[in-house]
Amino acid sequence: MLISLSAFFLVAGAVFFLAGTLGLLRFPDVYTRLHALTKADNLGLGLMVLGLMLQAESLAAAGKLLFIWLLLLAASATAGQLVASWAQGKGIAPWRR
Amino acid sequence: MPFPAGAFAAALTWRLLVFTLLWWLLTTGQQAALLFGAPFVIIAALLSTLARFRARAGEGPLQPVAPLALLRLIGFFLWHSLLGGVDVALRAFRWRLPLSPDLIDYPLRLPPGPATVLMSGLVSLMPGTLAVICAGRLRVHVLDRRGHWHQDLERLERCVGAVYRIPGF
Repeated sequence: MLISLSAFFLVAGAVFFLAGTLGLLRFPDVYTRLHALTKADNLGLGLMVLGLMLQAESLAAAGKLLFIWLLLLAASATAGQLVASWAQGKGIAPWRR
Repeated sequence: MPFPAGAFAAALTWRLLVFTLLWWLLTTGQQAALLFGAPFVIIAALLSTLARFRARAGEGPLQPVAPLALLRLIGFFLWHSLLGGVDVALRAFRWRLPLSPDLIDYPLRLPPGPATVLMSGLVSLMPGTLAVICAGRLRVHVLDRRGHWHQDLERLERCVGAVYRIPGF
């Protein structure tokens, strides 16, 4: 039961990683691509971490996984903002329909 | 204003606890690593507390974080980052990319400082919004200009303001 729940979260996480990569390739400009990377990949990793935590051997191992996710959230939000403000500084106009 | 020794001690104790927990997590509870980590835990806690209490020009004294408001913010954030991930994934999978992006300036009511930094970090993880610049105002890139991003940003700002006990939030 625990294993199948864990497998469900892992597969769901992989789907969001796939969506993030697809967005990175398909979206038209740097800003929209950042949207795909920051949001879809964070959720993908969050689901994978949840799936792995269900199989963790100890409380410390589970906590470590959660901590990794929190660090990645902070890193990707900051990196996303830095890339976006760099693009803005270069005068790269956002793509419009 | 006299140096708030009590608040300093409370903040330091709180950080010592949290950083010890983090070290314990990073080393997955190994006893031998504790001796090595202890000095770093103490140095990190001291530096972090000193940075928190350093007088900043033009800013009022920092209030301790409101725990209930923080819990509300975490819940709000988790739910919306789930929505945000699903939203962007659906857009990426659709054949005719449903995007109508725009750059907008959001007038911040939060004062400059840690609250604004937290706000701009969280904006990028919310559905359809990406913080671009944050200096006095917040420039946001939105994926769908017809979406309800303005309402979401206002709710996020209220949550963040409540965490830092800023008057009017």
